[in-house]
Amino acid sequence: MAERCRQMLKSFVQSLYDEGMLDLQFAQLQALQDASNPSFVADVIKLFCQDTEKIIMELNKYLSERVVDFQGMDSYVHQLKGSSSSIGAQLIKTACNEFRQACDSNCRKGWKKVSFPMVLEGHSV
Amino acid sequence: MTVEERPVNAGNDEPKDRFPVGMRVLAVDDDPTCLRLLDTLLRRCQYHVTTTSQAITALKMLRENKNRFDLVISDVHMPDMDGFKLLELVGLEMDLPVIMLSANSDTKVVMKGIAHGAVDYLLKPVRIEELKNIWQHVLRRRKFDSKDQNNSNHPEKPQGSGESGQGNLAGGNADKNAKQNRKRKDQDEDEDEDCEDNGLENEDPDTATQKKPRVVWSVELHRKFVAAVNQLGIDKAVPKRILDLMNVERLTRENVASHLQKYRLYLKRISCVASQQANMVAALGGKDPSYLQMASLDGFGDFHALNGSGQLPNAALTSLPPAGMLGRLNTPAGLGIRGLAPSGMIQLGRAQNSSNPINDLGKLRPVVLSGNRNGNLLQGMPTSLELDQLQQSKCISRIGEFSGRNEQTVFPVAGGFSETAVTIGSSNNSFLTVANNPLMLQGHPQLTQSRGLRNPSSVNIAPRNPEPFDIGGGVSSHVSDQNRCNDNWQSAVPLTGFPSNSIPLGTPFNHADLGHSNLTDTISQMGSHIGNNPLDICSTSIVPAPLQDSRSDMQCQANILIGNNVQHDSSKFSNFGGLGNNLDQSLNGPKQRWEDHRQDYSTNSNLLFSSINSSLPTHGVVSQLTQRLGQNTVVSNQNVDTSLLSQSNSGAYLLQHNMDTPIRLKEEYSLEQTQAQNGFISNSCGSLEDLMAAMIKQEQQEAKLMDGGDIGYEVYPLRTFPNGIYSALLSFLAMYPVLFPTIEHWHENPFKPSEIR
Repeated sequence: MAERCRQMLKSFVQSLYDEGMLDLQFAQLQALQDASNPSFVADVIKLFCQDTEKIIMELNKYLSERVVDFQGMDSYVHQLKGSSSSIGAQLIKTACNEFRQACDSNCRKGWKKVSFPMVLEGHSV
Repeated sequence: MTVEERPVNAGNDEPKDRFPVGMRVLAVDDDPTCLRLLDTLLRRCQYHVTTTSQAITALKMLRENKNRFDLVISDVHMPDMDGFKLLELVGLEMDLPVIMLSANSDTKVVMKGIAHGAVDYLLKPVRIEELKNIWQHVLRRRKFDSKDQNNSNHPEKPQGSGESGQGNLAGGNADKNAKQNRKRKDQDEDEDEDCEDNGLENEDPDTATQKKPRVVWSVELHRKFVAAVNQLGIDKAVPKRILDLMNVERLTRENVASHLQKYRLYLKRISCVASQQANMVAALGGKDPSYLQMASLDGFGDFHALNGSGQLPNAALTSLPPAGMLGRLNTPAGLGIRGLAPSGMIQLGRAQNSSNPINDLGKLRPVVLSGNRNGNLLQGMPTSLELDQLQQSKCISRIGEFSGRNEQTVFPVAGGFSETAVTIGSSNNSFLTVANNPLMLQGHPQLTQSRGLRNPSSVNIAPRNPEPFDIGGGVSSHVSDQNRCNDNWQSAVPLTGFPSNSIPLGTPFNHADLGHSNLTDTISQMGSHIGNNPLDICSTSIVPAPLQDSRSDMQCQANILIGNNVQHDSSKFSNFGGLGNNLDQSLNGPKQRWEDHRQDYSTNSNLLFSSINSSLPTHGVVSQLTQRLGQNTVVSNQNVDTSLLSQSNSGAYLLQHNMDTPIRLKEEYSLEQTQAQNGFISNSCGSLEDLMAAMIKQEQQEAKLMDGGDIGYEVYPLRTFPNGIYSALLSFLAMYPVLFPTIEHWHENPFKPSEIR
């Protein structure tokens, strides 16, 4: 049973890799998990999700305003970028980059929210 | 890295073979994900990790026990405090290596980090491979400190180990450091802070980085030294006996030995130059030391300048700053100095390039006294200015380097100066260029180019002392050329020193300020200051020459000057600001300053300004400069001058060591940095006091930022100075225009007092 779960997990993670949601950094994270640090990956993901949720909420607030404060958003996006790149959430990181570029060019761009729920789900595993 | 288990304990005395295992790291990041990741990675590398998400908490932890950590890793974007700010503070207060971390890979930001004194800049996501190597920064820092201390000043070894004050304190680390003449440039850190620790010995023996106290050859100390040598007879003077005669605590035979070596070189130089122009030498003597000392404006004649090499107190300082700066900046500093020193002086410096410039400078002192010093100072200043302008990072690194390298750079500069001073009478121009070139060469090829100095201009420098003037003139011309490249700071600087000359210099300087608008502004400001304090700024007068040409030089020079100024005690003021004054005074005074300058040099950039203006010792300036220099990729600190670079390292720390006033200067200096030089400049015009006041104010402002640190200004790594220094430099440069109405003036009649001012 446990083995099966592990298998599922593995394949799930693999699928995330394939989709491009995760990158090698995540592998590093996994490598860091060992006997002395058994729940490292889970902990990190948890932290990430919590943090990201807050950031996304903030970003949503910004976006919902009529006049969007891109500057303010930029710092949040930067933060998100840092987090996501640290754990290997590639997709988010990419989305962040794009978003920042969009902000720079001062045009409103749809925030890629879609990726978030997916990633969050994925990481909750 | 060995993977041995190592108990975590304070101090760096862990056996080398166990390092880096157990290295104590403090990680600061507001992002919990990253923080957690970092924590795990670092533990995986077998470091001892402490984490916090608040920068303020981190500072508190660091302050309560300086020895608690070996290294700090900090994020750039943090809500409660800017990462760079934290970086500066840590560098200044605790002089610990700081690594920046960010998801932002923008080159500008990275440069900024280096400029502020970071030893490294990592990008997120952090990889364990990178973390595996961070211990190098700690080791490097330690080595530098040790080296400085143990280094017995090898003027000939300008390389990084420059800063070595000759303290051979603690033999432990010193051993390895002493032997290694690590080139500052090689270090990617701009933490020239090491150099800055010139402070008196045993500045902070317990720092985590295990800094060995450095012996700072203050003016008084140098005076004693010279007295002892004279008493024994130069031929018979052996370190042991000198040491006994001097009867100074905490001075070791090695310190004296290296200092003696430098002194001998200096004397040799002087004698060569002296033969050329008795007058010039005399005139220059005053000046040279000043610039050599940058800090110790006392008239370059003082040997202090010679000491420059590790401490390069007077001559060295002045020359060093430029040199140091040069190293970083582009040797504008060197040039600056040259420019400063009345042409004669410059020449001396030139000849010396090899690191014994100081010796020569020392000789020059007597000769140059009057005009030259200013020149030197200015040179230093420009350098600093230049730094700012050119590149903050660069400056800082220069400065930082300078401190470390003082020997290197300084020497040439000093040598150049001395030579120049001497020859000024005869053929200033030629020398100047030469002198400048050497200096310039050191750092920047640019400088050399600019060295072209307008000889004529330099000559024009209003001769406060006819002789010195020549020197200065010659110098200035050279300097100006050189400065051109960088910023004619140099010229500007010297000009300031030279009341009469200053004007001409000022002008040229302004003009020289070619590219650097900032510099120009500063210079103009400075110029005004300088003009006002012609006497005080003796050095300024000298500077004029350089100013014109290379702004960058100016920076260097400015730095130098600042350094010189700073170093001077308020009383010594004369050296720096009042090169003119110094001229009259015994050059010895400045010597001590020189040392201070050296340290300050890095931070001196700011100091110079102050000094220039009010001939205040611009320790801070120099230190700032060093910070600026950080570029050496150092963080601009490591810039800095690492030292000089803390980037806004408060010169204060330098000052403290040396004297009360210096300390103030540092503070002010740091303040300066933050504040526009303007304030600075305006104050200084009157006199060093003004300058100091300005500086102090600034310092206070800065101090506020840095509160909590027990920096006591002692340890302001240059890093922190960058801002201040730059501003100082700029202000200085700005003054130049005022001081030196036009470069053309140089040619015509630079020395006319009226014109100058």
